[in-house]
Parts: sequence; structure tokens; C-alpha cells
Amino acid sequence: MSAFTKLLPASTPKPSAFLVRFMLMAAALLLLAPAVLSDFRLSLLAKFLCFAIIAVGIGLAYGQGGMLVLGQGLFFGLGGYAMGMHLKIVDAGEGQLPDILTYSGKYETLPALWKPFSSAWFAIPVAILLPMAIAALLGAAIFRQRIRGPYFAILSQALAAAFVVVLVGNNALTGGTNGLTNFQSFFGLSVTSPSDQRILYFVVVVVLLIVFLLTRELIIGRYGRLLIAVRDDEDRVRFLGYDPARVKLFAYVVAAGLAGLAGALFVPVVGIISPALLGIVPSIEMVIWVALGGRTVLAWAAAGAVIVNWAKTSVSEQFPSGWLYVQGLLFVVVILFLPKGIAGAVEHLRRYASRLPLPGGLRIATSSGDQAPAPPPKPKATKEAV
Amino acid sequence: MSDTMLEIRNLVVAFGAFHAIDDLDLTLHEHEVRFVIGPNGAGKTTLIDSITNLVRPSSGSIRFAGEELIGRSEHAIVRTGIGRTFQKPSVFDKLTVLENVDIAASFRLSFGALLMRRKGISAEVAEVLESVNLTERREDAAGSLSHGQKQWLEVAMVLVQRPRLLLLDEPVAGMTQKERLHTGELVTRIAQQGTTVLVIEHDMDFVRRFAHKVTVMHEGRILTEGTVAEVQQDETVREVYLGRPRDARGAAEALA
Repeated sequence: MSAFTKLLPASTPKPSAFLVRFMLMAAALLLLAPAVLSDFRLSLLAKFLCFAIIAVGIGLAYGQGGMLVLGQGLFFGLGGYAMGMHLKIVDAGEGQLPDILTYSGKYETLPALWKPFSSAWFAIPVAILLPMAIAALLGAAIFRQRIRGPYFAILSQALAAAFVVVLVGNNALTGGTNGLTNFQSFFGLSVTSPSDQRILYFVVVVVLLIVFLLTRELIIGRYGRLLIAVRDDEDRVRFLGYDPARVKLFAYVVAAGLAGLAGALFVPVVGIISPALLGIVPSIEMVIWVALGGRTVLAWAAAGAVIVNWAKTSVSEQFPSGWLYVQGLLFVVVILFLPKGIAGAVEHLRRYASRLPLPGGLRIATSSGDQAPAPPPKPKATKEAV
Repeated sequence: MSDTMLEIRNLVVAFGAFHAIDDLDLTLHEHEVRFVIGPNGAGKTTLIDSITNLVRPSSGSIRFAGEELIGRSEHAIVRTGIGRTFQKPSVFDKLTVLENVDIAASFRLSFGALLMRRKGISAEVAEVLESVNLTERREDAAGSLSHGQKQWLEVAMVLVQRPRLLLLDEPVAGMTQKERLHTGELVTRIAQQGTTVLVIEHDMDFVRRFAHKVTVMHEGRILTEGTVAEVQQDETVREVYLGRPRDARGAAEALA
């Protein structure tokens, strides 16, 4: 990597280490992965990258803002169902009922809840804005009352649990526990065709890269500094004239919007959205990805989603029931030994390596795989890297 | 006398049956520097806490530049132009010294502007950092500062907000003699620039050196007010300090 930077002419402004890393990461995702991965693996990666979008939001709210968001499944699900309903209506064709609504025999025409989702101009904004609106309402109530820590986590999770109950309880309208599935097309693409799935993969990668850049910009900016200040001493921030409730609310709402966006992309990529994907357990898993990757470093939070899910798939292919044990073990290891996740371990190794008296210094490759964008080196031991 | 800046009337702060502040009246005028002294438990910090709504008064009125403060939230009170420091310095350890001062300086920015990156160092921030001798350490994490430097950083964070009323809670506690002198000069300079200052202090040497007008608190009430010399001559002040063996050192100093 350093050799690469030396190749660049010195006269132009020196690209920061971040830019180089980001470009390498983008190249790995846009060029390398499609070239070496099979259709099946690439489609799996697309699914994991959808999860990475959720993880970016959690990295902001939890990693920077200290809010233990244990109910992101709700927002992911809202985004997924909004997109799913739209795709079902389009698949059914003009004037026809989607198959899911015919099973109960209750509906002759599109029910009122479904009707507006006929339009993509409604469905796509709703997939993002509805999660944000709900997060804003919930967050405003919670943060204004100065409810934090485990109480916030429980409240946010309760909402995810309630959403599952609502979905299952209204199965004629929502598909119940089966959810929405059997999608055919996505804006002219066939979701069953491998070549169109490849296009979807690129859509997901581009969205993730943009989301990552924008969120990183937020974290680097004054707002990001303020969010860390609120995380570490909310009461002190009040006496600087800021309302911490507003500071936290913004991060929480952004995280909810990202989860909704991820849900909307997940549906065409994976072809299903169901309560099992967004209840309490999936919501907790989302936080585990981020904790394992490294919650305070955004790139590693996103990478955590890919790493954990890739590991889940690999382990499950070999030992169908083995993953639960591995996941439990990973969680214990992170809590006991890696409070900063893989990012912390890499940072530790890097510092250890830099102390070794080797000529030229030993460099630890941190972005050798095609999954993990390496975090920029931390200039100060206690300063937060982004 | 110039305009009234802070007017406290019949203030009561009760924790259960205990009245930490018991029917207290206090008036501060513009550009005044007032030192508040008193034995432990006199209610000095509670006084600052109730001005900034860290504790909620049971009754009474606190008017700042004519506006009632009781019932307002903490951040709204700060926005009216009141800054405070804490006994235990509280800065954001994970942020750099510069970032600490910068977010304090940005408190009147619109939310949209807050989302942007900081571009360089503003003149105000640079000036304040210089005035507390922290320019050299601006890129260091605030957590790496010494106790005295953290206190200065906290003062810098308040100063950069240009408050009209500055409340300092034991600003020189735990500082070395040299740091105390520097802090005293800084307080004097702040006052000369037109800020009204209320200083709570235990250190009598510091009070003698830098105070003009002193208010003595005892058991939640104002015992007396006056110049340092007047207060030192006051019989009741002697009694208050002498009546408490634990404060023997303070008594000796108060009488000196």
C-alpha cells in the first residue's frame, strides 16, 4: 500500500491513507469479487453487504453514540416489507391481486394498506422514511426522558418484538410467518436470473460505498465529535449549551433509515422478507456483527457484518448445527478479550509490529482480504479513529 | 452601580427535610467579580447547581438579565449566556484538546453547520487556547492532560462561549502555586473584558490575593458580604469557622 502511494506524483496533493484504502476496497468489491466469485457466492456477498449497510448505521448510533440499538430488525423489516409489497403488486400485474393476498380469500381488491405501495415513488421513500419517523418518535420520547443504557436497549427491542407479533397476527395481510416471497422482478430485472443478480450486486455495493462515505463524513465532522462527547458524558454536554437528546436522536434516526434502506435492497437480493429475519434474535445479531468487527471504527463495523455472516455460511455448510456454538464462542471471546473487536486486535498487532526492530519495520497487511476495509492508523492512542 | 445581572430571591433548595439552601438572597451586578466562601456544606456548590438547573430549587426565584431561569433546561440556561465549570474537571478525554474547545465554541452553530467538518482553527479558539497555555498540546487527547491542565481546558471551553456570567466552582483546587497564580490572573483578565464572574473558593490565600467583594455562606444562608478585609474582621465569620474544629485550618486562615 505504501509502495502504491509512492507511485503517485508528489506534486499533486497527497491522497490520505483513507482515500487509498477506500479505493482499494471499492476496487476489491467492484472488480475483484465479481471476477473471482461464482454467481451463488456473489449473491451471498450482496446479501452480506446489505447487512453491512445496517452495520454502518449501528456503528454510528452504537459505536460513536453509545446507544445500544437492539431493535434494528424493526427498521430493517419496515424497509423490507415496504419494498416487498411493491414488488408483489408489480409481479401480480395490473388489476390482479398478489398471490399472498388471495390465500385467505378475504380480499377482492388491493387492501388500503397495500394500495399506495403500487407506486415505487411511494414504496422506496417509505422504506427509508418510515423507519426514520418511527425512530424519531421513539427516540424523542426516550431521550427526552433521559432514558439510557439497558433501558433504551430494552425499549428499542420491545418494538422489534411487537412488530413481529403484528406481522404474524395479521397473516392475511402480511403473509404471516412466511412473510413475502416468490418475487419475480425488480424494476425490470429478473431476480431469478444470475446475470441480473450480478447487476443487483453492483447496486448494493455502490449504495454501501456511498452510505459509508456519508456516514464517515458525519463522524469526522463536528457532529461526530459532539456525538462522542455525548456518549462519554451526556450531562457535561448539556452545560455546553447543547441538547444531548437532539444529538442522539439524529444518529438514531440515521441508523434507522440505513436499516430501512438495507431492508429494501435485501428483498430483491435474497427474495424473501419474513418475521424470522427481523425479530429479537436477528436484531441482537446485528449488534454482534458490529461489536465483533469493532464498534468504534466504522469500516470495521461494516466489515464485521460481512465477516460474521461469511463465517456463519461457511460453518453451516460444514456443520449444519455448528454455527450457534461458534457464534456463542465468538461473543465470549469478544467480550473477554477483544472489547474493541477485530479492529482493536489489528490495532494492537500493528503497534506491536511497529515496535519490532526489523529493518524498514514489519507491516501487517490489514486489507489483504476482499472483505475488510482497513481502518486508518490511529495517530494517538486514545483518540478515536474513524 | 451598574445593571443587575443576577438576582436571586428567597431561594430554597431542599433535599427532603434538609435545606441545602435556605431562603437565600443574592444580587450580582454587571462586570462584578464575586467570591463565595464558606465552610464545607454551606451550600456554595448547590448555589451554582441551582442557577444552572443541575438541582431543582424548591421555591424562590433566579433572574438572569431580567429573565427567570427556574424551570428552564440546562442547555437553555447556558444559551442565555451562563457558563460554569465543575469541581471535578470534566472534559472529554477521548477528544483532543482542540476538539474539546471547538465543540464548546460551536454551540451556537445551526445543526446543519454542525454536520460539516471543522476547517482549520478559528481565531477565537486559538486565542482561548493560548490564554490557558494549551496551544502546544492542542492535538493531544484531553485525557492525557494533568489535573491542572484539565481545569484550564474546562475554563477555556467556557470562555470560548463568551458567557455574560461565568460560574467557577473551586477553579484552583488541586493546582500548584504557579498554576493558581496564572488562574487568578486569568479570572481578573476575564472580568476586565466585561464578564461577570462568580467564584466559589476554599483557598483563602487565593481569595485574599484576587477577591474584592466576598460573600460568606453558612448553612444555606448568606452570613455576610463585604470586602476581604471587612469579612475577615466580622465576628460571625470568625464564629462560623471557629465553631467547627474540622475547619480549623480555614479558621486560622480566615483570621489571619
